[in-house]
Amino acid sequence: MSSRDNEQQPVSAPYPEITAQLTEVVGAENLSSSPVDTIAHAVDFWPRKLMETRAGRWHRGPRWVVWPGAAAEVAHVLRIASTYAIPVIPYGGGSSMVGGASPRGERPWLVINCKRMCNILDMDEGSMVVHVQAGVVGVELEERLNARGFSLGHVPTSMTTATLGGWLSTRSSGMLSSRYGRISDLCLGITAVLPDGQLVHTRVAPRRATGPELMHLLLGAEGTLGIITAAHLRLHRLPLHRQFDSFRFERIDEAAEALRRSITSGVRPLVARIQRDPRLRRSDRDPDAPVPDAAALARRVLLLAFEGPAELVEAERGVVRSHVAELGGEALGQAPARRWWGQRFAAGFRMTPVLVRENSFADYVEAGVTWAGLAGLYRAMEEAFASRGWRTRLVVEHARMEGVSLGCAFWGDAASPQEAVASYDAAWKVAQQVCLAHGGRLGHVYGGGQHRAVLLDEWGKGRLELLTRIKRKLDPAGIMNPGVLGTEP
Amino acid sequence: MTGPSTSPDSRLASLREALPTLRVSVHVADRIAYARDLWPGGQLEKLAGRFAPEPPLCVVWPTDRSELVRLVAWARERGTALVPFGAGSGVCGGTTAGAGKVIVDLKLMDSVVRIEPQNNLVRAQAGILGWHLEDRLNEEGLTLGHFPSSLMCSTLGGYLATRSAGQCSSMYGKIEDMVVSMEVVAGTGEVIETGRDMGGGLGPDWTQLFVGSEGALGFITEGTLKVHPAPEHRVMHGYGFERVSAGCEAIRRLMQAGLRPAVVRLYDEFDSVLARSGAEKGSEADSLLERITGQVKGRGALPWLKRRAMQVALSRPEIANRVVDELAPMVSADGCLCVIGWEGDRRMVDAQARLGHEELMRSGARDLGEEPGWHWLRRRYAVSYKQSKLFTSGAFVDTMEVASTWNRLMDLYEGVRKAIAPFAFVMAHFSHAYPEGCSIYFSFAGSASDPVEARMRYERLWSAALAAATRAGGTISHHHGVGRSKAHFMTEEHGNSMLLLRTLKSTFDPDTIMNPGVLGVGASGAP
Amino acid sequence: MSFDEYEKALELCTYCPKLCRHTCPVGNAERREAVIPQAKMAMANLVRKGQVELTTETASVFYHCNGCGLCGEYCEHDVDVTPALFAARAEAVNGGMDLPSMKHFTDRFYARNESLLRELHHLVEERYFVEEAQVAYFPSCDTVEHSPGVIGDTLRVLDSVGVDYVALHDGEYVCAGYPFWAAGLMSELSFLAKEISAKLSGYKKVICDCPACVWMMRFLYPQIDAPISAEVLHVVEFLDNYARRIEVSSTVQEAFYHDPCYLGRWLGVFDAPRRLMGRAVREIREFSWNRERGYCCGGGGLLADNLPDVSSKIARRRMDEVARTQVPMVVSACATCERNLARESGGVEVVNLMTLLARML
Ligand SMILES: Cc1cc2nc3c(=O)[nH]c(=O)nc-3n(C[C@H](O)[C@H](O)[C@H](O)COP(=O)(O)OP(=O)(O)OC[C@H]3O[C@@H](n4cnc5c(N)ncnc54)[C@H](O)[C@@H]3O)c2cc1C
Ligand SMILES: Cc1cc2nc3c(=O)[nH]c(=O)nc-3n(C[C@H](O)[C@H](O)[C@H](O)COP(=O)(O)OP(=O)(O)OC[C@H]3O[C@@H](n4cnc5c(N)ncnc54)[C@H](O)[C@@H]3O)c2cc1C
Ligand code: SF4
Ligand code: SF4
Repeated sequence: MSSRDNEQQPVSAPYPEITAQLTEVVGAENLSSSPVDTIAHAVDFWPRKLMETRAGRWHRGPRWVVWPGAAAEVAHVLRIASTYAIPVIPYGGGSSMVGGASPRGERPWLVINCKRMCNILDMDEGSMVVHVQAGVVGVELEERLNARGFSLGHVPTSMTTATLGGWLSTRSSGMLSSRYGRISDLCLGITAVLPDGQLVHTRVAPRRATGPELMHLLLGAEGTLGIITAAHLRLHRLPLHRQFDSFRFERIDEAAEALRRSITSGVRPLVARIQRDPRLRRSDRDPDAPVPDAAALARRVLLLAFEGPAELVEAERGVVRSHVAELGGEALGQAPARRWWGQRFAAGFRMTPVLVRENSFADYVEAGVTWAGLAGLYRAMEEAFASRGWRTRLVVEHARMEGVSLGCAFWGDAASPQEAVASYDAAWKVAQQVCLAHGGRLGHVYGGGQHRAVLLDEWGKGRLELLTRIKRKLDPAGIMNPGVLGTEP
Repeated sequence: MTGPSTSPDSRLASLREALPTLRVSVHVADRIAYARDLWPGGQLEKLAGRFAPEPPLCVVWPTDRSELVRLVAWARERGTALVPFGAGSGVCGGTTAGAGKVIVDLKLMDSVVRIEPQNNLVRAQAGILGWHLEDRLNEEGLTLGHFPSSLMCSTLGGYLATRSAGQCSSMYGKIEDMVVSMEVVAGTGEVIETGRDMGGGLGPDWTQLFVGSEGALGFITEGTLKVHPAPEHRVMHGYGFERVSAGCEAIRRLMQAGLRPAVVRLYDEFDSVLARSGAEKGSEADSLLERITGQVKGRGALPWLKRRAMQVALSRPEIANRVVDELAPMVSADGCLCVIGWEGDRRMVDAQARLGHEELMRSGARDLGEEPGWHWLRRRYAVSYKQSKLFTSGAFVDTMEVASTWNRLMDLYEGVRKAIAPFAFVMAHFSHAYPEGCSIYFSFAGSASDPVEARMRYERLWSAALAAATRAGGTISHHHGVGRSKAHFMTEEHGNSMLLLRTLKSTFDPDTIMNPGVLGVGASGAP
Repeated sequence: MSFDEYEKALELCTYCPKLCRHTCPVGNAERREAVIPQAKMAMANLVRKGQVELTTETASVFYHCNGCGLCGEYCEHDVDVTPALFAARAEAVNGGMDLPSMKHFTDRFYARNESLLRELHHLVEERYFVEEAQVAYFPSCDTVEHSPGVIGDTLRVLDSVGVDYVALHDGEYVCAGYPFWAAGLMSELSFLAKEISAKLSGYKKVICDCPACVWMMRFLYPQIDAPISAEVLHVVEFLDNYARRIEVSSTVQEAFYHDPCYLGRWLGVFDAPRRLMGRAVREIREFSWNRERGYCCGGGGLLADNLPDVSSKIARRRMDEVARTQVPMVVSACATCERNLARESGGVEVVNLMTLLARML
């Protein structure tokens, strides 16, 4: 235990006293120290932790879980935590894949589960803006919006588990980001509780020029500066005309170039993904299938979805088709992209079957990269993993004007639990090196949590150092999710 | 640390000693030219003969980031305030130095560092004039898509520092939507690259926290911005709406239909007359009102309006505005003019223009054909020239750009308009539209018997207008920034989230040497 | 042309939001607010109104102008900055507050004139100096000093199209007095203009290789009571009628054409030089700032004398655009431009149109 911990955790912490105070704020039914709840909040979806759990190393849960019902209650709870220097984890859906929502070390953690704060506070249909509490689970919000003819347009694979607060705190990027942007692009303002219990509310305007956009201090801060309790979000109208297109290219290079030119021409696809030729899937599953040749392995498909007024959708498809033709792509029709759309949440289920195998390891690398760097990074990543015998599935997604995100699911099997963890760490080391060498940047989608911060390059670390400095000012007691994003544990 | 009380001479001597190669000027012409930005309140002072009441200590021109870093170190040690200066086209007193401060002109740092067509990016230094940057991009067949009316007289650093907006913002976004990363030399002396061109990243988005910081956190020295192919095709069109509210409603529906017009401008009844007026270069029309009334007369309608309005307009604006209100429906048969423009890839433009046209017609627009659109495009920088004519005729003119979500927009429009009306003749247009809301750009002109009186009237006008904007739930600035002239309204604007701004300030400018006073922070800093 | 005549212009600029600043070659080179058109005019206005004292310091900004007139192209008020600032210089001269570098300007002017006259007679065979002629060629100072070959080249090109009746003007001056105007020495200018107009009025046509001389003689002389009865033309304007007769034996692949400020913006001659250049160059490349909006070489307004560094920077900016391409040549039709651009050529050939044509014959 570090000396800092000693300082912050009085030897005879008055736990009963704290429990009493917390109970007074949220009510007995909204506080728990029962193993049922503490175990449930002991791990999030960080594969490394799941692997450790699988090997029998149970993680200690928090000392308390509370479910406040309103921002005012959150403020009270944080004031109590500040007083006793109790470390706090803001908790949404716990779908963090980087250990952002799970306790660490031996301290008496207080988890603030935000899910009771899940109401739509106001709906301005004319402006297409919703004011909603941050604990709402993604799919629930979307369904409620759909019922009123709107959509948020934010669809991460973790739609069914993650909450708005989690999204905002990690600046989440969903599968429709090429059209609608990250969640931070959809956010117009937030309400948040700072560590000392102060409530701040950033005002809503379509755009403004009155200094820095202050909500951005909390967006992406992963709970290290405060708790987001509500937000104003931009919406889109339903129903929308939707169309699909799929194209096959001989190499990643042409596929990427076709997508780049389309985006550059002003096309805003709802979905844009480059992935492996689906025909290869058979050879994955069927050991007797003929081994595909190098050319087949090199082929990539570009899957696209479009949304909007029918005439505009047709114009966009026309633009894309002409770029594809120039680059020698082969049109595959709507079907492959439609098929993907039908199974768009399937990716979320792929990792678990791997991880249930003893001594396996798996995770998902996501790196930002410019268009110019994409093909190089793609090949380097593929080769680096393949040369070590690790399996990968690469996908290009989140296309923007200046670049894309390269996702790389990797998995493999080791001989022992220790080796599995070692391979897992080694795989990340490899990903880090490849990114450093090929202009990619780790941590494009899932946030940093306890994990990615150590993998960053100098620049990335420097940025987190800025966060740490802000944190010392706003959170002098160091109670907010300490240890996440490289902040002091 | 040597206190700020040391004499100017000794501070200059120490500056020269600390940075022997730095270009420094105490030339009288420089101390006059840099004493003010283009805040109309300052123009009024100039009219009253106070052209440089509080000249800066000196003007310096750093050539690179390391020189800036050393300059910051010197300023911290000496407790001297630094004022970043782009081109001084700001309209809120952001660079109004105040005695004893050091103006830091960034225009020697004005190169285009690189253009990456493959990544749709440009990296340029902050001191480059907007026009020159656009020129360089045009050479490569690209455009930034940022066209403020001050394109010729403002810098990239100024845009980034004030969250500037151009005429095509509905398509290309405001500057904060274009910027991917910036290099900042903070008030601590550290060099911060806020983002990376590969996108995203862990932790808060520092680019969004430094863009708009108006020099209060540090110097923006370079920026990486998205660029687009220069448009291969353009469609311009004019529409008429009976009332401004109907026009707003139509624009809302247009923006919410998933279309992205490059230009969206809806003029209220009187701005419409002005926007439509021919007034090509060299026109005889002498003043704003003359042009309006001349136009009314020219159209054969209400010739007496000219006499009436001219008499009362500028000196008793409440009457002029009332006349205008009553006559609004009659002023012109075309009502409110709305200019819509589309640009980019030909197929995308054609499809959007057709869809947009249908949407607008469904909303009750009258089709005025292409000409009003092209007319606007040809004359899009012309309006800025009207300023000096009005000032030289003894009047004052200013503009105020507010914004809100659609549901509050009409209240905001009426509220601000009523607040300004007792003091000046006012008109407005709606020119930056988003799916969730819109900005309103008020132009107003007034006059008084003498400069002192004019100044008082001007200040009362602004206080009333800012209060009205916040009351109606709008922001006090959509793209001009806060500077010093609106600094006292920052608490109304941000409520208790000002706390976050103060935290940024104390983190990145612990000695409050960076442009103290702008954005309502660090006012008590060094002189 | 007194200072007060410019009151309206000076006032408009004083309250103008610096709308032409991006054009000003001097402002762009110095990056100094005090020398953008608006600020120079505002300073002149403050001095005019007595709000700021006229000193060598305040007056110095008037000299930060190369008289290119580019700012005016963007001015919706049609303000003409060059004459106003030159008038301000005259004011400075009258107040004894002109630049130290302007001392003994008149003496130096005449001394240079003398030596260049001698030089001219060395350069050109005496048979070309004919007293009686219909068309006289008036060579200019910068041509004689910096591009002496141009005179012979011009005569050769004229010969080649069958124009053999042009005589070299055998006068006492190789300059129409632009330097005096730019120096604010109006009485010296007036004297010189009268001398020259008396001499040249004997011809039917006068052709000249210096655009500024042409502009002075055609437009300024009449305003200062020294009209010339002869038609004054730039060489390019004259030769344009014979463009199709020019037979070249070889051509250059591509070259930029640089519009001299006075030939282009001030005299409005844009197409003639391009037509002539088209005889010898297969692809004429255009600068992004060209024709009416052609960017200055930095050579005007006595800038090269008073502020040589600024003048070079202006030329550098022009040549930088060429450097970004692979084009090896810049063509112009003014010796002042060629000299100034050549100083910053960075290996690119800067050549007079007449020299190029002569070379390709
Ligand atoms: C199968 C699967 C698929 C995924 N797919 C995607 C994807 O497509 N795109 C994507 O972006 N992410 C994806 N993720 C990652 C994860 O879903 C996101 O990071 C999500 O934003 C987390 O939301 P959550 O509510 O679960 O937050 P949690 O996991 O509970 O918390 C995440 C972080 O945010 C903080 N936090 C949570 N709520 C608040 C609050 N109200 N105030 C302040 N801080 C708070 C936590 O302290 C923690 O640091 C996926 C995860 C899984 C397991
Ligand atoms: C006629 C006219 C029309 C205009 N039209 C528009 C318009 O259409 N859209 C629009 O958005 N604005 C407009 N403006 C306002 C003005 O042009 C913008 O605010 C512009 O962004 C200012 O740029 P500048 O370089 O002149 O900055 P300055 O005026 O020099 O500075 C503005 C502020 O930014 C700070 N600053 C400048 N550079 C830096 C830097 N590198 N680092 C840190 N801080 C810096 C200064 O300290 C100051 O606080 C107009 C102004 C005028 C006079
Ligand atoms: S010349 Fe015209 S554009 Fe230039 S500063 Fe003067 S008034 Fe403004
Ligand atoms: S004439 Fe040329 S140099 Fe002089 S102020 Fe105008 S643009 Fe600048």
